[in-house]
Amino acid sequence: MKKKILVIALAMAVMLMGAGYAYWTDQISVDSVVGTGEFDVNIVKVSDGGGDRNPGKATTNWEKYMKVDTDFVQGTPTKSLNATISNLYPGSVAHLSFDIENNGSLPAVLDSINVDYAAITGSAIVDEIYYRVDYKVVQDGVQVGTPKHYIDGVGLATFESKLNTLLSGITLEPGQMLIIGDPVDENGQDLENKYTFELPATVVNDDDCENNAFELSFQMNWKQHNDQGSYKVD
Amino acid sequence: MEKNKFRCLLLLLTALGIYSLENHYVTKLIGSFNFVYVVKPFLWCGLALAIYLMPVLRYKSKLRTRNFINSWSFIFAVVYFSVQFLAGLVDGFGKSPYEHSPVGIVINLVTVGAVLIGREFFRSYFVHSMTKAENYKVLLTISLLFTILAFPMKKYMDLQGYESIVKFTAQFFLPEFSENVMATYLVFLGGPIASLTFLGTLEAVNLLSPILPDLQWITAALVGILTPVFLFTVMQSMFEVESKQRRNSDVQKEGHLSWIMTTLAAVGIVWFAVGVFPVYPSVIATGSMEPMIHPGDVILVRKITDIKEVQVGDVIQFQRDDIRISHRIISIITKDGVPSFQTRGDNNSAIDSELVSPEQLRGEVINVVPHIGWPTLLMKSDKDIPLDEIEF
Repeated sequence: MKKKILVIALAMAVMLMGAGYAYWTDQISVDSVVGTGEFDVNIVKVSDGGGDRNPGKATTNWEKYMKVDTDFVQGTPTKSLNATISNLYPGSVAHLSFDIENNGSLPAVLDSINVDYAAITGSAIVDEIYYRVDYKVVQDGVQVGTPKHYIDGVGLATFESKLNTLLSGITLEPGQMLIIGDPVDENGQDLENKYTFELPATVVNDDDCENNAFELSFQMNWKQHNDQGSYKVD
Repeated sequence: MEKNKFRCLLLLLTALGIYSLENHYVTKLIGSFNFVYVVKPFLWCGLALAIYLMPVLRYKSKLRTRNFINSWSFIFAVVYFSVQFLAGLVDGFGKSPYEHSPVGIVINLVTVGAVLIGREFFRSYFVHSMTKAENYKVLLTISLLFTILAFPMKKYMDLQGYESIVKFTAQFFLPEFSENVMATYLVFLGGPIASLTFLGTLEAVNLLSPILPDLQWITAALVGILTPVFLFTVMQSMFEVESKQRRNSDVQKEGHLSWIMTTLAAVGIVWFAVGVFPVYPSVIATGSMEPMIHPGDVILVRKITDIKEVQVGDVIQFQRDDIRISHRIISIITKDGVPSFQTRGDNNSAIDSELVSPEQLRGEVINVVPHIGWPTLLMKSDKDIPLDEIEF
């Protein structure tokens, strides 16, 4: 009798969880490095925003600002991130940064990042956009190690490979956080006036005018670290 | 018995001490690598050795049934991970995050193995000090204790909001609890070897397999919670027959297989109704889509995963405030690359006044089952429906 009560209680718990799943879930299963109870690395915070390199310039083309939207829900750790950058025009800038935390009990190494991108409107935009990505590793709010400077480039075709060159091999101890995208200098100090994405004001081709948009999806692949040899952040 | 209980308390305090160290800044001082791969295995091995040197406590099963218990522990572990891999065929697989170089594998097996041995020796001593007969209170309490200690404190403290608590409970906590129920029962029957066989097999697969099932959290909940607990009920019955406490015919009357099928069917029906699956049912209350759909009909709605699938002429279901409306798409208007849908009920005189945005879209109507929704409508007939949202 008692074992039947146990089975029924757990089965009802499973049924209730289904209701929660149906309520909360968006679709899209992602091919990923699987998470186990001990191994748990997630994006825990995303900050984004758009702006203008030279606010106040008197032209009607500059009334809209580059916008960044992501599918991240505050308070819900995730292993992947989708971002849409829209309302682009020459001179607009945007930042996108995300914090990744190792919540597991094992040190984790960033094996690779997959970045997919697609133009929503105006396919030329993905070739014109300037990107710059910095990173730092922090523990309890204090920076750990000295990161490499940054990667930058024009056109999203090189984005994934450069991002992997910058970040692959980074090790996160349990409790450490990797902050990607916030502009920093060689010592990891915050930089003013630097952004993750910028459509240079020198872009004047009519094909690259305002209202273009593109989307990015980031997929982080982390793996266990139990080889004491190579720590990337030194 | 009193000496046993005292030793038990001492061992419990030691285990809690190891857990506290794991969650203390001490690990940051010596480095988490050194703690995880050197200090922690050493501490648990020490605990196992201390228990080994203590007077042996009697297990429930007699020697002649030990092989039976150990063999079935292994078989049940194989069944469990097979079910997980079958679920992976549906949800997909991911690369194992664990190190697979030869050195990495050896390090993992040694460190995980050492901790597992220590834990199972501790579990065995604890169980047999607390009870000689089958005792569900002891079984569930010890299972709960081991489950709580399985996760770092940070994991609990980082839980924010109802959603993350439910997901953590579903995906990790309750499956771990279910496994601990099985392991605790095996330890009660046959000592640490039995539970080590079960848990050790599962850990070995976890560490050695290059790919692992990458289950959605709800699938992990279904498989992880129900499989071990079903295996526990089967093991219990099998042991009772093997130890001649009950006759085989009495156990067969219990009908384990029919219990399992009934439970899965019940879960499946509830999940279908609440919308876990890609197709879900919805009852229609108005006649805006006659003659295709009448009030009291149940429509089957397929969740839309790609907005580009949606075309003019499709009947879609969308959310407007608190109600769901099912109307036909008349036209698609694209602005800044984002589509919006203009809709109208087949039986309505006017086009719906508001456009449907992609966030409001729930799915596409793929089938209609006539009349079976009337009981639901009658049950809900006393509830206020915002009729001003519905256009005629």
